[in-house]
Amino acid sequence: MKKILILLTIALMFAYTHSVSADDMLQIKGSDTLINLVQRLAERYMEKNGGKYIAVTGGGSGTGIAALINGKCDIANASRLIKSKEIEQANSVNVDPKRVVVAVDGLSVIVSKDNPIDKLTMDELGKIFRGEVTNWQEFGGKNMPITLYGRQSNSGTFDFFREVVLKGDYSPKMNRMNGNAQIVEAIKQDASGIGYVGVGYVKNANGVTVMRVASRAGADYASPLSAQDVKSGKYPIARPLNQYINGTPKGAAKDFILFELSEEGQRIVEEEGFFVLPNEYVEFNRNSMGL
Amino acid sequence: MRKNIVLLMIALMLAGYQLPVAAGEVDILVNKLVEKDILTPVEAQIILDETKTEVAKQIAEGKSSTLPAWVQNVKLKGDFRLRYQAEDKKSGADRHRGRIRYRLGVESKVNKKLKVAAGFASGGADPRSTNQTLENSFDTGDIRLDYAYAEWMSAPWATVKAGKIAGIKNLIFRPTDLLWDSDINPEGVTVQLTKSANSDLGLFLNSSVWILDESSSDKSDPFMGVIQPGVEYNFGSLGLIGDVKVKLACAYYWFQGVKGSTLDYSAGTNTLDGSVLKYEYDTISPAIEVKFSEPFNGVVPMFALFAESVHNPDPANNNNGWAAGLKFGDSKIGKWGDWQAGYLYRRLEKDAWLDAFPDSDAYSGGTGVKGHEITFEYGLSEHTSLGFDWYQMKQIEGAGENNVFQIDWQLKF
Repeated sequence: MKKILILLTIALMFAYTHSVSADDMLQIKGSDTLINLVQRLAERYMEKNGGKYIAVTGGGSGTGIAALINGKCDIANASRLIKSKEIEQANSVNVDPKRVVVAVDGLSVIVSKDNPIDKLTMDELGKIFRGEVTNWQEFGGKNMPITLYGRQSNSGTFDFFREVVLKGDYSPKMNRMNGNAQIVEAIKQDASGIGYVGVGYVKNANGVTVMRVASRAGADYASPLSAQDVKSGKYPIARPLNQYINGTPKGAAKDFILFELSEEGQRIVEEEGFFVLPNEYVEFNRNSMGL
Repeated sequence: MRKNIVLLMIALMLAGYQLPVAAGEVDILVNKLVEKDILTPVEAQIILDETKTEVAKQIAEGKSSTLPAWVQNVKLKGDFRLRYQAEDKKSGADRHRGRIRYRLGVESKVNKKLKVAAGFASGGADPRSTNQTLENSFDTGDIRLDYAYAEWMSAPWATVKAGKIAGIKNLIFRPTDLLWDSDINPEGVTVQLTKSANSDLGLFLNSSVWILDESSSDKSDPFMGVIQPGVEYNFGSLGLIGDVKVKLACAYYWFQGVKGSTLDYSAGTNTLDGSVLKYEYDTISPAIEVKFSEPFNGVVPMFALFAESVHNPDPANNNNGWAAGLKFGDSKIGKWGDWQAGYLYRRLEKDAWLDAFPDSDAYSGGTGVKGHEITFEYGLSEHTSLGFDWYQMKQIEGAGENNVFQIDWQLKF
């Protein structure tokens, strides 16, 4: 009896004493592409601000936005835009999702180092991932079947790539991986593989080739590793990385977002392999969120 | 200035056309403006993203309704099940019966960290069943308080629940019904802690004190405690066997005032000393589940292996139990064509565990039994399914045998 009561009392006290006030506690959830970056930003922010607590978890952009709508998190990381169905769900529970852009990604198409193909057009990528072309020989490569690696349907990257590159449905044979890191690992071990990941996951990756991509046949090929190519729009699958908040940010959420957008925050963005915000996005954040 | 003109043109297009058409037109227009160096690529991206969001908002506004705040803070959920059940007993008459189950749950948000939930269900007072058998010349059935509790999320990783708490499956990790019938809603306090070490590794701790009975004549009220640390790990894709997730936990159960007393709704299979329980039931119960997503190039969406065991050190004999099984198919049955099949073998010795708690469909929820269970569920439409469940259970010592076959039509709302 006594043992159990003591255990329960300890657990309750632990829960109580470690319950951080709402103003000092932030729950961030969502995009796998953003998780490492935001985790780093959160760690640095907590180092600088003792007493603040930020928990960062993944699950995919869809999971993050759903958690924001259900009141389970304060900030949703999203590598895609919010959908009408999600806005409808948010409206029904009085949640007003506002968007802030925190970094820019050159969504990178990768193949094994053993694959001689290093450039493709958007049209060719679409054919590959729709399953219409199934052998590397079609592009002058080795006679080997193409193995597809992509993300699961709760991923914003899955949606973005389908909308921008495929303009149709993925091949049912595509291997649906949990995260960017898993795709990079799979490609390293599979000479016939091709996959797509956030640029932050490939800047220092060995064993893979980052493809140059052209917007159409005859156009120049561009690399997601080049800040100039991404910023100029020459690289055709660049995208903003977003966070959604319920209403105009205030308190701890505002403080953390301001840190992400600060010079120090953007330096971390660059260190993690993504691209800093160009002036246009800085202005967008200022106009839309007053940040 | 030029951007304002572009935005004005876009606004006019959105006002004048069907929205999806306008969004497509904006795409072409913006790309032309980039080609002519009127807009930078980033400005173009912002305009396209804002247009998409605006279109999504307008589509959503057409569908959403504005409800009063008190309605938005209350959620209703429930289910109805119609069951045919056939029982084939070696000793005693075979039995065929129709049964219904109706459950209604109300969840009310008090504030961001507190909520109150209550549930009402058909059936009698038996904590292991909310079924109402169709009988007695159309007599009316009971609706009882199935659960009522408060939940406090003190931090994103700490939850406290107190009252008559819904769903044993939400309070303890238990991959099988070896120890706990899923209808049981314990009474007391539960504290649950979770911690994500990283995106693949999660730790959890379930701890509870649950009241088993209250005596008006003395202070020796029986109660129990449980503490269950556990870990979840996501291995990611392991080639041919797909994504692999493992969940592992070990529960320690502690009972006070049970030896020397009797429990309500006992199946009468534990060893007695005279008319009261002879042994203590402080037990250790490890459990594991290994789940594969889309294994073997997606032959099935999900395949899982699981096992659970229990050991009671007090009796010298008949003090162990274990169950192991597998399931495969869709993870959830939510729509037409979804399906899941499963198999479980269980063996629960006479004094391994208290006979008031195990699955009531497996030899009436008693101990000292072993046997097989095969399940199959198929989605008929959204939130509607047809389920089949077959138990073949035998006494470990003795010739008793009890086969149960159930067909369930389930509707969730």
